[in-house]
Amino acid sequence: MMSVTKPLVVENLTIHYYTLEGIVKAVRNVSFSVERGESVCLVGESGSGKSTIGLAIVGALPANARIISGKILVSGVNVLELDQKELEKIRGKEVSIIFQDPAASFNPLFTIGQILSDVIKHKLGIDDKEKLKKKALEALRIVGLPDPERVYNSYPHELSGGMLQRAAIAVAVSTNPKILVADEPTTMLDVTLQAQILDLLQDLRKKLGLALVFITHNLGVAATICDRILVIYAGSTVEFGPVDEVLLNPLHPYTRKLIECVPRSSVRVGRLKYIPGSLPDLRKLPPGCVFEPRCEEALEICKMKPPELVEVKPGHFVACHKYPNKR
Amino acid sequence: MTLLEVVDLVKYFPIRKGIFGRIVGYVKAVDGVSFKVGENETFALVGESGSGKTTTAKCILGLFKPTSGKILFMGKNILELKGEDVKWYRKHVQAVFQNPFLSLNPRMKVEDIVAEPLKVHRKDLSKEEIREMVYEILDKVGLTRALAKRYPYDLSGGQAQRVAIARAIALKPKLIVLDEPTSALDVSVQAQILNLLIDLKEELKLSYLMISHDLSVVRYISDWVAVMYLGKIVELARTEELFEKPLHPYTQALLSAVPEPDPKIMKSKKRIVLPGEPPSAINPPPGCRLHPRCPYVMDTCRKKEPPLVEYEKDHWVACWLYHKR
Repeated sequence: MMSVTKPLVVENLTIHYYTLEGIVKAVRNVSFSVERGESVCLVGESGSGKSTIGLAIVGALPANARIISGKILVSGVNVLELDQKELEKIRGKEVSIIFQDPAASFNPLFTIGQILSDVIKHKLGIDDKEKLKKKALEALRIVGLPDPERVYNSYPHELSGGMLQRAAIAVAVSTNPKILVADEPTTMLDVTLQAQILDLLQDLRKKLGLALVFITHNLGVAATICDRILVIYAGSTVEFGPVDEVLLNPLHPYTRKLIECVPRSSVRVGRLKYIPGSLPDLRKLPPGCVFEPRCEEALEICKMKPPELVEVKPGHFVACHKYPNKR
Repeated sequence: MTLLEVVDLVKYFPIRKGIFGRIVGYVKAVDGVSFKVGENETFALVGESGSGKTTTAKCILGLFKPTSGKILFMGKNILELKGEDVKWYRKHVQAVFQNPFLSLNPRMKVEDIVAEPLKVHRKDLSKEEIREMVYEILDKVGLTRALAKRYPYDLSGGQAQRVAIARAIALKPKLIVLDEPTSALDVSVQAQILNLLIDLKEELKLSYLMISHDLSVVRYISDWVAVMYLGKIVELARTEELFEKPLHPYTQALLSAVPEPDPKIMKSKKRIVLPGEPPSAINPPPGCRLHPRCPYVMDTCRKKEPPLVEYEKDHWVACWLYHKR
């Protein structure tokens, strides 16, 4: 028996969207786990399925999504088997989420204080008004908002983007969750504010022992914030491992290409590389490796059969036929 | 040779209140900006939201009327142009915006979008000639003829941005204003578009005025960079010089905040964190606009605004730290 259950374990997750144009196989067979105080980044381009995984973890998939297989264990409980009522108990207390656009995640008709108190009241069962406010102000202080009292009485439109994202983080952590899912939380912010928010998330992770699932398309942001990185392409894992390993010694051709695509501010690069072609149609996937049509290193076998995820070095997994399964 | 010269450009937006629309204040979006764009050069304006970079671009495109200042294009002040001269200016200055799906008419086919500037400005061409030219232009931006009959919604983000670029180069302009042309695209597509822009610049001898918040992109594509903060240029230099030897504390902070996909660099990078957020452009701080957030603030900074001076050859900075006595 395991003595400590991991805060989050995702096992063989497969999610399809049912649309009028056909079945979109958005996520296929994705597995990963997050330890207490650890941050795992899901990195991919648009349409890779990274946000779908984030929504599945908090049980907030849109109505046309079907979970075909897999498990999501939050502190040992499979959230995919829970009904809405039971999910309500998990949300906030076990797992919280923050999104890209903080302005869209707040109801514009309520003050930050009202929203925050409401969440604390329902999730932690605190009824006393004094205590509620104290707890709310404390949450605002934890996220480094300079004047918590003013923010408490402000409506969302009265705050700037950076402050609002801090307030969203305050709401998310006010109920002491074990897991925080952050879906592109800095994409809409300027670089100096992005740096501030990333610092804050790092700080909270250490202080509160949060397990952080960070979803981003920006490899630089991933390099700053995560311990382990999961590179996802067209719904399936291509590479997974410690961040230094994956970014400095990338194994999968896609990961390598993706890193070469990024212009740098610290060095002047020669001509940028790019990945020819575009994402495959997720309704009609190729029979082999999904990256094969765009891969310059493709072998014969790549057309026929999808590669399995194999552990090439300790903790460093890759799904590519160039690295055969030694078992 | 200088193609475009902006001299002391000011753009204030009035804030109106009450039923009579009384003016109660001004948003000082651009407050005395001067720079030059040379022929066949890429000049980048970088800064965070609210720095005034897009307002500057819109003044140059004639979408905003500046409060004061001059914009000289090939020696002519564009604010005083009339009649045929306005047409001449528009023919030579084109624009590509951030979101191609917003800048392309959803009810027009790709070929019609690219043909439209030709129909307006090249009345001497027949329909067939225009069609031939459209195909040629599409070919130049890497789009196949098969795409010509499609509508914008049927294109990927990268393809749509190529159409926007095709429309911009259709009239063989001299200057293209690029307002965050790759911000809405995935990195792999961004790389393709940046390479395309570089190739077109060489082939067609274009100049670019690039507006961006992404310093990595700017380093890749531009020859000159001006950093803006709250409506002012704080530093202006050749790209390599600015990235290797940033002088202004704001530029240093901005550069240190850019994340890179290299954990080694990220760990060794000395981060300069500016506290707080940029103040409002309605009441910018007196003296140097950065002084409430600047780690090196001195007494002078609170009282007097630093002028933009040439500290070294081709390297301008507006900061009292570099003021030679």
